[in-house]
Amino acid sequence: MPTMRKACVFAASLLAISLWGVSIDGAMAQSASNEIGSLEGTWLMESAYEIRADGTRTTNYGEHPNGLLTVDAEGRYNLQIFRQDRPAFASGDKARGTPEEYSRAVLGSSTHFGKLSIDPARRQLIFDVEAASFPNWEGKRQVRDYEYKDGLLTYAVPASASGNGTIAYSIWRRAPR
Amino acid sequence: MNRRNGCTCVASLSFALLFFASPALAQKPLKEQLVGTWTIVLVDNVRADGSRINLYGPNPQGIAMFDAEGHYSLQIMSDGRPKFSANDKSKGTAEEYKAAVQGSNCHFGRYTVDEANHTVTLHVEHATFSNWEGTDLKWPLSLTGDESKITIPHPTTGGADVTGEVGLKRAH
Repeated sequence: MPTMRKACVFAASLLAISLWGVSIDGAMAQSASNEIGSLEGTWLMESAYEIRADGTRTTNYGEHPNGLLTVDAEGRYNLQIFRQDRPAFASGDKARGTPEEYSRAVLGSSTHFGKLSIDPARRQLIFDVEAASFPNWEGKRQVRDYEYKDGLLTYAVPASASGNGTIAYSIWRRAPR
Repeated sequence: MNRRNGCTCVASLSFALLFFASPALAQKPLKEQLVGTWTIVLVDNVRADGSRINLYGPNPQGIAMFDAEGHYSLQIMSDGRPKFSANDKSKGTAEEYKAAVQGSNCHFGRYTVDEANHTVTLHVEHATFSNWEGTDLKWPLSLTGDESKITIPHPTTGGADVTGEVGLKRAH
């Protein structure tokens, strides 16, 4: 019965394909913690600090800023960092802030989005910024050296990006699934 | 078990596995359709007479990401905001800081979807407009394929007689 045999082979192939998919999912979930692999996923900010041109350490966004970095399978990224103690706008209206409220809102946050790629051989992240809260970054490519260890991703924003000689370090951890 | 029964059994198991492994074969819940990356193409206030105000200019730049675990991240920025003349974020003028804040709206947190009522609720954890932090934004959501629309019944700017509208396109 050749027809029956073909049907059996077809059915067995479907089963094999299905089970293969399941096993791939399992293998990816167990990848080693010191291999970053892909950046895809959701990252939570662990901490951040800056080293000024004179070598002193500071924390422009506080020791533990609130940050979220999401990266999709196509390398689109969405990054937001906020200082913890920013004041609310007294008027309750973004259009009627005081100069102090506007400056603190800008200095207490950093947000940008665009495309992000990784060069593991050079240990570099490449941010192609499409839009940024600091508009001077828009349309710029920013290359940052990174380290990945024990599930923590650390990268340095070079002095040239801040405009004032400060090197900023950002430390991220993958969000638990 | 004869060969025919064995074959039927393998076939049934295969189709069952394929069905559960391929969401495309099932009717997807709204939340599942929302998961992914969206480009924000429109952020308007709509007046009662139907006329529109582009809150972030005619070509807003924006992105919204919703992950499967319930995190969301959304950024809207108006096109052509002035650059800081000092090229240093810490040395902006009062006018530059004001324009940067008024020309953007970024926030992130968790989200939930009410499947029955077709609404999405953003539980805002952190936002450029800090007054939103810790608040819930519950908005009607319509979604067809690669296009989605969020309606904002009472936007924070524009007065009582306008509704807000955010248009999204799935990024490919």
